[in-house]
Amino acid sequence: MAVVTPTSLNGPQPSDEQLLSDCRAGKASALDTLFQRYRHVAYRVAFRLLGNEADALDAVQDGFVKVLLHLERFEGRSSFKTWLLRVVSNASPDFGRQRRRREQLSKDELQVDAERESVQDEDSPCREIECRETRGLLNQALLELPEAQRRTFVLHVDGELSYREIAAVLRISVGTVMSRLFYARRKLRALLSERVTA
Amino acid sequence: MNNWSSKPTRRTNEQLLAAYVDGELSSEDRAYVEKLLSADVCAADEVDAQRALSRANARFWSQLEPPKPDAKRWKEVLAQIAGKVQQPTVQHNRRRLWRFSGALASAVAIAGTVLIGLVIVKSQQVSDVSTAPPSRPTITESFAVLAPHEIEIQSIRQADVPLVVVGEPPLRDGVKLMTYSDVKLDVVQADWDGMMPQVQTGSISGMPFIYAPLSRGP
Repeated sequence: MAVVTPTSLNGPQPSDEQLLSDCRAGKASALDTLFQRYRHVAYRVAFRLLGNEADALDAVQDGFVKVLLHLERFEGRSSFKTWLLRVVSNASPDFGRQRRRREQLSKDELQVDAERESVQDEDSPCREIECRETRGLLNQALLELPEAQRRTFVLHVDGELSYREIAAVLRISVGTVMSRLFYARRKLRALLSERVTA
Repeated sequence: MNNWSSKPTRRTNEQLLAAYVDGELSSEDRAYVEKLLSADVCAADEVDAQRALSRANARFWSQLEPPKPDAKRWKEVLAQIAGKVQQPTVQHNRRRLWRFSGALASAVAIAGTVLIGLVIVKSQQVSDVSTAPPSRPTITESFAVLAPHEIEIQSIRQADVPLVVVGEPPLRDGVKLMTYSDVKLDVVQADWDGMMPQVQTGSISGMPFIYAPLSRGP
């Protein structure tokens, strides 16, 4: 019989370093905790980059697998989260390409995704048609950004990474992060206003 | 029309405005931007527009949260991860010690592998002429190239230092001894984490060039 114990009642949470150490030792519970801790942020980043749930979950799965199979390379110079988001964001374009090859990604398809999401999301606070439409518009607009700008923007907004962390993830300068964010937001604004007024 | 050209610092105004919106500026740069904003209406408008799509606009982003996968899907993903991580893989074998007979008796622990496409353009130039073939056909295939810091050599004959060869097991065609000049970098493929490796080879680095054919594709 499984006994579920709220982890918050068990005192301080184990650090990422401790969990990684336990993962190396083959402790399944450590993997579970690590997954619970970072799955949402990894999923948000992947979803924004890919535009749909199925591919985003594939990217999250692939990211965790790659990271956990290469634990010996994690030297603690960056956080586990930064490391994971690097892998997820790098893998995402491949999943997107695979998907486009399979299904010829189109605006119609994104609308279908949005409709499907709305059905799944009945309990979400964002139930209004306006929210769904805005999310669909945002997904479309994001897909129209140059890939470098899109990744930078998503890592900042959805990955909640600082400029310095993004620079480390993408191996670019902090100044380049600044520029990409500026132009990404400017272009997103133009794309969104175009669609809203169209 | 904006007139942001008066900025004296090394950052562009675009960079500074983006960082200002995100609260990532030093106090000096922040003071500069605030001065700029008070004098330039266009810059102030741009900051407002940038702020609307910044992370600080939590209300906007909270409405646009991606749909949450249900618990069953998460469970499936975790099960997939656990299954793949727990399977023995080639990567797990990287730390295996290797021992070559004869001149090269090396035990190698390989921490990681960069996959690189290499085109062999020259024939083998091994100092031990007695074992070298008279000529070799051109081979085009992918190899794993390892940086010197990724291996640990426990024993090696001095004459073989420039010819150190290690491979990621299992090797498909055995081990080949090569020098820098025997290979030409053709295509560099992304590392396991998707990043493009910064590769230095041969006389550029002055370090031993290490490679071996892989039994699996890149």
